Amino acid sequence: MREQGFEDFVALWTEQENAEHQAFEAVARKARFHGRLLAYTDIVLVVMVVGISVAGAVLKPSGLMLAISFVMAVSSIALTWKRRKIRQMTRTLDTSSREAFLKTSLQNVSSDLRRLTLSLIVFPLCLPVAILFKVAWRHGGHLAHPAAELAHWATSVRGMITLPIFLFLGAATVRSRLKVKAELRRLKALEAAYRDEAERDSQDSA
Amino acid sequence: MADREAPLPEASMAANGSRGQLFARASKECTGLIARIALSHEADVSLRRELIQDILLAIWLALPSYRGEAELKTFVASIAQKRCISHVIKRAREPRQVELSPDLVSASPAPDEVAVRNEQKKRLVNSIQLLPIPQREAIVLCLEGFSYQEIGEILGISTNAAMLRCQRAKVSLKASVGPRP
Repeated sequence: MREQGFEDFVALWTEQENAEHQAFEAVARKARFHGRLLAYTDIVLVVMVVGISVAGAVLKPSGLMLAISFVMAVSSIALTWKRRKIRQMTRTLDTSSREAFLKTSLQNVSSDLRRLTLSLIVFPLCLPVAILFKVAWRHGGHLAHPAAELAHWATSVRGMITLPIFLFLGAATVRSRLKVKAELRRLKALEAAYRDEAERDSQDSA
Repeated sequence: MADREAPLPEASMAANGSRGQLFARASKECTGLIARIALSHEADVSLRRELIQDILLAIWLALPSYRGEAELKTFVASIAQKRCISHVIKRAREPRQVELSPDLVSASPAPDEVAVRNEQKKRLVNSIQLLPIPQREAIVLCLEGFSYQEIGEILGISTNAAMLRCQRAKVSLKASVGPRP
């Protein structure tokens, strides 16, 4: 496996260890603390929900209360367990294979992109409709000049406060979409790189 | 480089000690492995530190599923590689070449030798960071002393494919760094 020349690379590569060693212990402590915190948060959440359910059943004892408390307690435990499993899977990317991981990641990022695109299309259309609906409601269902009403709303104090907030939200959505698009591009490039490498593997083996 | 560990005798985390003990063992024995896998994917020092923390957190969360079937080092390498891929996909900026950290200075006595060695390290790291990810994953594990079979298991590819990827990466490294660094 090792040939002369490559051993020199190994020696050079493994010398990098000292560079990170000093900071490593502190980082490991932080990671362990974060991991424990995540687990304790889950436990506290379950204890709270189960405690409230039990208290409800004890304070107002009835068949219905008992049934509701039981369902709440069981579902909170089950949900917390499920959440823990999902978090563990996403954190460790514990998927069966690299292909499955890429496929799932592509699906997730593509859905995110579709959701953001839909928001950007629907959001500017819904806003004037909602404003017109509100103005029409105030005028007993009549709107003589919709454009003039919109302009009037935009120049009102309420409009001048609301519009920048909506513009900010719109800009944030555009920014998120650009980020997700870049993520999707990188994922597709990575998928292509794996495919090309697999093809080269087949060609070189033949 | 960390020495190859003996396979764990029992097939459960409980039999190998608590999660805390296993984590302490992983973070102590695999310091260099984790740091270097992160280095192969992230050139920026502060981002790399975040990546290392993320890898360690992933290891902490994954330890309950560790059954001792593979070596702890293999388990850690597998998680580190996957976290790095996720990091590469999500990072906002494309990788850039950075100057080597002063930490990399070795204990060599002669300053000119140190300078030459540092230059060689820099070229090697830069060349590894520029390799396509499938080859980069394979060559880093190869440099860490994993066998082709272990590399195949970690990356989810055949032993033959692991060997071919390592060979291609070696050719690229030799071309960019030189046969005798």
